[in-house]
Amino acid sequence: MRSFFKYLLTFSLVLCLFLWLATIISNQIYQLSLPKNSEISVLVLGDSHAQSGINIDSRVNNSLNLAASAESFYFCHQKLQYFIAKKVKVESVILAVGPHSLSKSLDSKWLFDELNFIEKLRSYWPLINVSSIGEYITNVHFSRRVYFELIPELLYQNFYTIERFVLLGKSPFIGGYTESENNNKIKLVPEVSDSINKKLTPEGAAISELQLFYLNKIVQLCNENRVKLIVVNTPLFNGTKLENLQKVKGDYEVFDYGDLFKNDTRLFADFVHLNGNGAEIFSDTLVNKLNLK
Amino acid sequence: MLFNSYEFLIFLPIVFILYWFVFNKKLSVQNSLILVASYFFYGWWSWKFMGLLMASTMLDYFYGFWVASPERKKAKFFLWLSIINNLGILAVFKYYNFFAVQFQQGFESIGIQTNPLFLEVALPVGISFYTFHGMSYVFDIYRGSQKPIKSLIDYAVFVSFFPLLVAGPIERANHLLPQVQKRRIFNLAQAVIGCRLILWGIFKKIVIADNSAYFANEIFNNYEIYNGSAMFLGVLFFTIQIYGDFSGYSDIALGAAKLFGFDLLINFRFPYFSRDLGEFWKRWHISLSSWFRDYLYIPLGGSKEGKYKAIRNTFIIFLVSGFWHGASWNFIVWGFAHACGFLPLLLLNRSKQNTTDSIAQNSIFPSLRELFGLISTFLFVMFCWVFFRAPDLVISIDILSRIFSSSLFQLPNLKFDNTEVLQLFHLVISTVFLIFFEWMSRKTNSSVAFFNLIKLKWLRWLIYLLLIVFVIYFKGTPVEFIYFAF
Repeated sequence: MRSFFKYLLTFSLVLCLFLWLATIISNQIYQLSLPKNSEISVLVLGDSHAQSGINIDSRVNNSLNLAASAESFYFCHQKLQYFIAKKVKVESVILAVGPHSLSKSLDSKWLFDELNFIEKLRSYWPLINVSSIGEYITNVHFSRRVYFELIPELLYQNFYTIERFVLLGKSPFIGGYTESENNNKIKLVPEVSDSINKKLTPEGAAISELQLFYLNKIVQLCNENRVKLIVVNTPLFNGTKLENLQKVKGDYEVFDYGDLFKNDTRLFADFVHLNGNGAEIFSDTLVNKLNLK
Repeated sequence: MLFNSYEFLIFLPIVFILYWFVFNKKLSVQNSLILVASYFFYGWWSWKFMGLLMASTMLDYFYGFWVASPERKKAKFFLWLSIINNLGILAVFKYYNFFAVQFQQGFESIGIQTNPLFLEVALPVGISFYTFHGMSYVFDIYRGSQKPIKSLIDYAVFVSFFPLLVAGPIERANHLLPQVQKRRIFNLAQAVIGCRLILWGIFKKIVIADNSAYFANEIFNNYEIYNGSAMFLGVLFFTIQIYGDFSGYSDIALGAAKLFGFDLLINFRFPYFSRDLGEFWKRWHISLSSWFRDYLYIPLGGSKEGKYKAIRNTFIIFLVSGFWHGASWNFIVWGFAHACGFLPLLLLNRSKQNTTDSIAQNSIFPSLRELFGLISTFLFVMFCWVFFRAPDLVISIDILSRIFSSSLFQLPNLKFDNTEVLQLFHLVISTVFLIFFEWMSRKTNSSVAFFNLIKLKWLRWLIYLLLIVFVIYFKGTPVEFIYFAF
């Protein structure tokens, strides 16, 4: 029995060493994809609305779009905190907040879904403040399975990062402007659009306390570090404007472009995302408004 | 509790430590712990059906005494009562709704409307396995090859031992009970083989089966849009999936049992390396096919009472075997197709020609004749899986007609995104790895025999590490074990 445990223990040590090595290599590769800026003039954060709608990197020096699809404000907050902790001077943050962002109905669908959380966490691992994970899991009331899955998922990410880098020469995706794939392919029917938007923003819909909690944290972090925060509602096909920001306390500006391209089928990839043309026009509008050129 | 779950990852070491460090002094204590752990394992899935498991165990335990009666009439009476009892449990929980539907449709065909009562109850996991354990015990006692055992706990361990409880292997009383009745002493070599089997089984399930399942499900669930060559690939994915799934499960079961000092029956011996269907059935789900051979085929006369009876008996066991898998015409047709495939071998007296050795017995590569046999057997088995996987007969036939059409020679109209291409790449690498190592072990009875061929310790450990990396990184979306549904 002693020999068996000795055998198991030795092998476990070798395994840990091997996994640790993989983690080091993966982190080194990860560092390549992290921005090295010491100053960021505009940092864009948010979900797919900002990812497909704001192409600012090519327009403004030292600007960075790190928005990513299905991104909750928790991860936006983590990204911002990463730069502030690294003493990077961030002048302004553009945070995409749509009518759907604070809708409780989306909480369980993707914003605070266990699978989505784990996938995001493993992708952004080097950006995350580990102490925030416990608070997050407690707030969201995830099942105990999440605790079991965290370590294997993080190990998975290490191998994924290494394989992607070796085979494709790519470093991990942590966000960025991405032209919508559905460019001009979807026929927009206003009736369908209305029905979708009704689902997203039913009148008097319950507010997501979780999103609100992390949105307030972003505002607080910006205010404490004298970062100018601009909340932007990107154009929506049916022109829905922002509501429900009364509970967001602190200093921030709101640019509500919800109705900027209302019913203009040429500029949307679908009912809520701009296509390539729409993104270009909207980005120019935004840059002009901010006087950043 | 599933073998590929985190719960089992905690459960197994705890029971292992308790078993060897706390409850190892006496046989009765060892068996009591195994029984409690087994019921806990089963109850984790559904404590409601534990009553059924216990009742089935109790009944067969008592039938054992009654069937042992020196009065043959009395013994025979109780034997039949036991059969009715065990098959009755199966009939109610597994087959009742199937028969109710057939009854309803039969009457509707002659214009009579009926409204039979349908049972809305989930199929108790492992029911087909533990009832067959009990039946083998009673049969062996009736034949005189096994004596009824006094200890109810020992008998309950035989029926409910957690590694084999929910999906086999289907054990025999005269194989497992002597091990249950003897105090186990820790054996390092056995424990090491156990760990290897568990790792290899997890690799087969999580990497091979779950990844294949992703593609097989996609293609089978949308079969209307795919051409013949894409459907061919879909069936190929399922062929890989079912082997990885079930043989992986069996490897984990055998490995876990070895950690507790038990040797279970081998269930798979590289079935896809078979040169004909006779050999395939000597290598696929061995514990079930040998069960049917010993308790059905041979009592019916086997092949010793002339050609006609041999053919009849062959069709009976294949049809019953098909029906054992599930209450559906698909499984019956699957069994029938295998019986038809087996028929030429039977008629030409070649059903046992390839059962004593393995392919490429004295060389590294198979001969052309062997290769032809391997490919034709593999393709036959693969096409039969269509009936196993498709939801009904109409769809099965539709899928087969798509495969055997001119579109088989077109490029597959499959569209994969980047993630799926990567997943497919991982599946191909893992499958090549699997085939290579299983080919190296083909002359043995163990799916991890190749580890013994590697004399360098560091190389063995490197392969363990590689397997762990595969499990962590190449894992597919978890899919329930296919045989849990049977």
